[in-house]
Amino acid sequence: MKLRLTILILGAVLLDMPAAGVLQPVVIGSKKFTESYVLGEIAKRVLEEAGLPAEHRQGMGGTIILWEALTQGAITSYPDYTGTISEEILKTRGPMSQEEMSKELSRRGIGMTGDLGFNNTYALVMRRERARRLDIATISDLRKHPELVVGVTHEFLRRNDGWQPLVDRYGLKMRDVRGIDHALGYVALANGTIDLKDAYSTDAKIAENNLVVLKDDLGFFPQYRAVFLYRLDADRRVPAALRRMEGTLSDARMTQLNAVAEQTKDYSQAASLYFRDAARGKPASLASNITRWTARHLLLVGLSLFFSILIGIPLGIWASRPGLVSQLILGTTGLVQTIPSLALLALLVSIPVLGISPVTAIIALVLYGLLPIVRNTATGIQDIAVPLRESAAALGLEPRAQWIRIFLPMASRSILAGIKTSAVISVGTATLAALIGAGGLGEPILSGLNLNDPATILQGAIPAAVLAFFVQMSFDFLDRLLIPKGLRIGANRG
Amino acid sequence: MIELQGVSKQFGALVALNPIDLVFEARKTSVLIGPSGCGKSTILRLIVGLLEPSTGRLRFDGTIISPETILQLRRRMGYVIQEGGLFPHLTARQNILLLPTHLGRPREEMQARLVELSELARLPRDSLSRYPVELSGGQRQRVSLIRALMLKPDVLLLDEPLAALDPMVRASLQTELKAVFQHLNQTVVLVTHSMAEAAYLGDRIVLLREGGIVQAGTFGDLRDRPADGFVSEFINAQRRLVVS
Ligand SMILES: Nc1ncnc2c1ncn2[C@@H]1O[C@H](COP(=O)(O)OP(=O)(O)OP(=O)(O)O)[C@@H](O)[C@H]1O
Ligand SMILES: [Mg+2]
Repeated sequence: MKLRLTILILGAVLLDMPAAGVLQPVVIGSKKFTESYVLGEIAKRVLEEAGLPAEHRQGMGGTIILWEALTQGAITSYPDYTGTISEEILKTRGPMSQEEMSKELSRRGIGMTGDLGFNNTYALVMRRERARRLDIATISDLRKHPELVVGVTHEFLRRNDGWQPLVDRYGLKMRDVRGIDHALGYVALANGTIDLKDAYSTDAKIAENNLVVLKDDLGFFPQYRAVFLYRLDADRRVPAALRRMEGTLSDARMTQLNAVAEQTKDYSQAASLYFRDAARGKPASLASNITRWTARHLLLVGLSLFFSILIGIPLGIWASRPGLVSQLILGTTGLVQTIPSLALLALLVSIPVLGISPVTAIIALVLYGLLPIVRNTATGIQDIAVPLRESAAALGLEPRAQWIRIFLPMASRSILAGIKTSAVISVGTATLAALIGAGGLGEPILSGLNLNDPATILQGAIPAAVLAFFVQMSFDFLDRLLIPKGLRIGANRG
Repeated sequence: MIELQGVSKQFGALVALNPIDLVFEARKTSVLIGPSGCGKSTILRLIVGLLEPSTGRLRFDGTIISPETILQLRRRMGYVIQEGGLFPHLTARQNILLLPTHLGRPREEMQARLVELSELARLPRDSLSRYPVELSGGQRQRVSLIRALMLKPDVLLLDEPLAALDPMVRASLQTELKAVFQHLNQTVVLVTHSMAEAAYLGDRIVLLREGGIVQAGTFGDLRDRPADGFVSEFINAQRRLVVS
């Protein structure tokens, strides 16, 4: 029996192999920082889409370790930057074109893709509104403002491509220059203690803190353009697949992916974002888009409603007994509902373990949908007349059976009404889920609002309205199915 | 069958029942009667365990009634209240078969018992598939009675089962109740406001006043040998009502 199962599984695995018979997965390495993780994850998915099983070994170490692993064959590919390749790996002096670099690398058995589109170099950053007020867009513009307070990292103060050479090159005359820790520097920028600091140009913090990168108009900073390095003896489909990523990641895009990765602590999610937007590039029909958004919307509503019911009914039962606990439960769920849905989302997103993710959206929807269910369950039970409660007990039913056979069915009308309210609210509120990347019908509404394009807004708004109506209808139908007939007749007569 | 020893009940400062000793005998119909608020329902609710006594203890067939024993004991009692206590989401038949089904009693046996009791209580067959709201008050009380009798309870506890019915229905149900009690040789504790009903149905009458027993005995005892002026006043008041 066991043997047959093993053979079956083996057979299935073998059938699944690509024709070329690659048994080993392609191993992608990455360095120990967010951006490298994200690129590694994207590469893994790109390879898988090309039918090559791939594995991502996350955060193996620094440049030297990754380079050794690559040349020795422990990994097949990893992402690196042109500046690093020329300075740390090839150790050349002076600038080097990508062609020259590629040629140099090939002599060591390594290939290099074209650049992915972004440049992760040093940069000087300022608060956006301060830069605008002072009319500063480029580093040259800083010459007119020697009064600005500079806070750069201690490393940047010392580097060959750091502060002093930069000042010489641009002829800057800042009077107040301090060394400050990288993370603290962002805080100091935010509260206005300093005006200017150094950063990596695709650092997630730039977008988060609403900073601008000053244009390096004299081309002082070396180029750190991202590329993938790979073994030349790898399957030919590997470089072909990796090359598909060339030019697909702008600075802004990479910054955004880094931000998502840092907030969600989930690199594969950031990678998914890359693919979702890549997919959006291909024209999809309106019908298929609406279907996809609606399906996603229903999933959000369905999942959150499921959990609202799962939590709400027991809470409602608990809250049906008079007392402090009951007031506490009803008070808290009521309080949650008074928080504007947008504010609730924002509050949840600020909780570090949640961050920007569909899970956060679902939690918000669950919390939001709780009150109608809890309150209706509680009142439905409280409305059961005392003589009937006592009859259920006096009959000789144990408490559990009293609940299942008597109290809950008798409260079913009220409970179902609460679930219906919760579902309809949820269909509306779920459009906000798109704000934190959870998708659904809010997606076209949001992008329509951003683009000031009513047609796009309607692509989300109309299906959302139809959906709410449909949910309402199907609950009216469910009423007939789930509420015991005796209660329905009673209500019609009463 | 049921024995109360020094049983009293207080609700906060209010004394609903002073300590009393009382025995309800097997195969007899005992009637609790007295002015409103004298504690009649309280006694029934103590027996069926909806209330716990403030002092004293109750025994059912020798077993002390307590939260531990009450579930099993309740299954040996039938309890009928004024409004019948039928569950609105279940048909008459489902109401009647609720506990037998829950306890997994044999279907055929219960079906036979249902037919027997329906005939005894003169319940029209087609009313079994109706919901409580679709039944008349008299039919509801009949269904409630059948539900209470399904598992052949040792004791039937009736709290003003006929109070909400019009006089005609009430009279015919009184006759049927008497027939049922005699036929089944049933132990009954009945609460009523009507001395006529008490005299007609009761083997023994317990007259209560302000949470205490004034006199217990047959109707003849109460009529011919009243313990005090209140007893004869109570009997006469009802008689005057009938005459005037
Ligand atoms: N749960 C309760 N809480 C407080 N007081 C109660 C409670 N139940 C009964 N009482 C009080 O106890 C006293 C006796 O009540 P009980 O229901 O036994 O009267 P009764 O004799 O059945 O009256 P009636 O003929 O009106 O039904 C009354 O004064 C009543 O107000
Ligand atoms: Mg009473």
